[in-house]
Amino acid sequence: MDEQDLIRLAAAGDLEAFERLVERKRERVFWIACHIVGDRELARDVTQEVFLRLYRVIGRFRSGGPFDAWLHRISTNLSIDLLRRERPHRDTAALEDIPEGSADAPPPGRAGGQESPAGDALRRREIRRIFADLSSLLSRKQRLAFVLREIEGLSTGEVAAIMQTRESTVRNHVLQARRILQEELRRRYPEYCRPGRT
Amino acid sequence: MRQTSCPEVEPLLSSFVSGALPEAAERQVRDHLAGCAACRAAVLERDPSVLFLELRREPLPADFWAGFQTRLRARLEAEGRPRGSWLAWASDPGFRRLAYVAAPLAMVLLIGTLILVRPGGPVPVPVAERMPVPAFDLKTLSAPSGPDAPPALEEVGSPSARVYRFTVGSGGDETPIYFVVDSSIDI
Repeated sequence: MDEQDLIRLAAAGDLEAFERLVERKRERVFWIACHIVGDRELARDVTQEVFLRLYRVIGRFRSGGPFDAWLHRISTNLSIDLLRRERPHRDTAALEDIPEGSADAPPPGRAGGQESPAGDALRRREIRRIFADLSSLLSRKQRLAFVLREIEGLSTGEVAAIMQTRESTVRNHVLQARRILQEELRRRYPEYCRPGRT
Repeated sequence: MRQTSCPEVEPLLSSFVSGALPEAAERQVRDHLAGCAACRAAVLERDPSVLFLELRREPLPADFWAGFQTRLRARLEAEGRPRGSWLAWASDPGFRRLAYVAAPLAMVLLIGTLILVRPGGPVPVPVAERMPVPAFDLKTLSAPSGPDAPPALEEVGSPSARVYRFTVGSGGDETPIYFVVDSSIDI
């Protein structure tokens, strides 16, 4: 069954069709939420809220329209809402997670040339924490454009559709975000900017 | 130390860092960098933000979604049928274009109707009316007597004010001067 049929049936109240739609879309929704809120558990909660919201409003979706852009706009909006609510708590938790002297310590994972699943997971967790830290310096739109285009790998056109703006504006946001992240990475985390550390 | 990068991508990396690649090529390079640690290392010094490409789609644990559908289904069943389908017509672009024209027209009609049917009927339009010119009573208060006599002073009676007029000069160089006395003028 193709996606449009699933959407049509789900809009008519068919739970089975809606669940199949959820299975197809949940991973992308989850990763978008995860890159914005910076926490897997929270992102999974957001994913559930996104699909609950989708179920409430799917009847308003116009057949043949850009469903993914619509769904991802719900995802980004709910993720940002949650981030605003959770910000004080998240900041505290992030600081507690940082071991003393971590800025001078070599990055985990591939730093020593040894690769292991545990080392990779640790390194990704650390990079996620760094991104959560530095992306708070970006404007909401810069952050969204960077997450969707650079990390999630969507095209500029897809990002523009989600953000309801022009492609040139998206390119501008990404360019600004990259510049800020480059500068702050060099300043705060120089150990991650050296070749051989990736 | 220069890192070894993949030969098919290596010529594009400088342009990628400077943002000079066309959209499609840039996306290809970015996708490649997301999965290739050697190429990421090759551009890391020039563009440290490629570090975050490592965050792209890491594998999730097998049991990550366990229970997700069950919990969601319980909440969906509590929700009932999807709402909002009765509003689907409102998102149609044809309807929106029509609404842009119809809404101002409806507003004009509504305001016009309210004005016409309000109690007391339409607001009367003021009509200019010619006012009767009051008759002035001119009388000379003092008469000149001789060439060095003071100018003649005349009193002009009017319904609301008293106007005194006298003339200075003589021949073709006469200048009338008026005094207006009105008790309603508050100086």
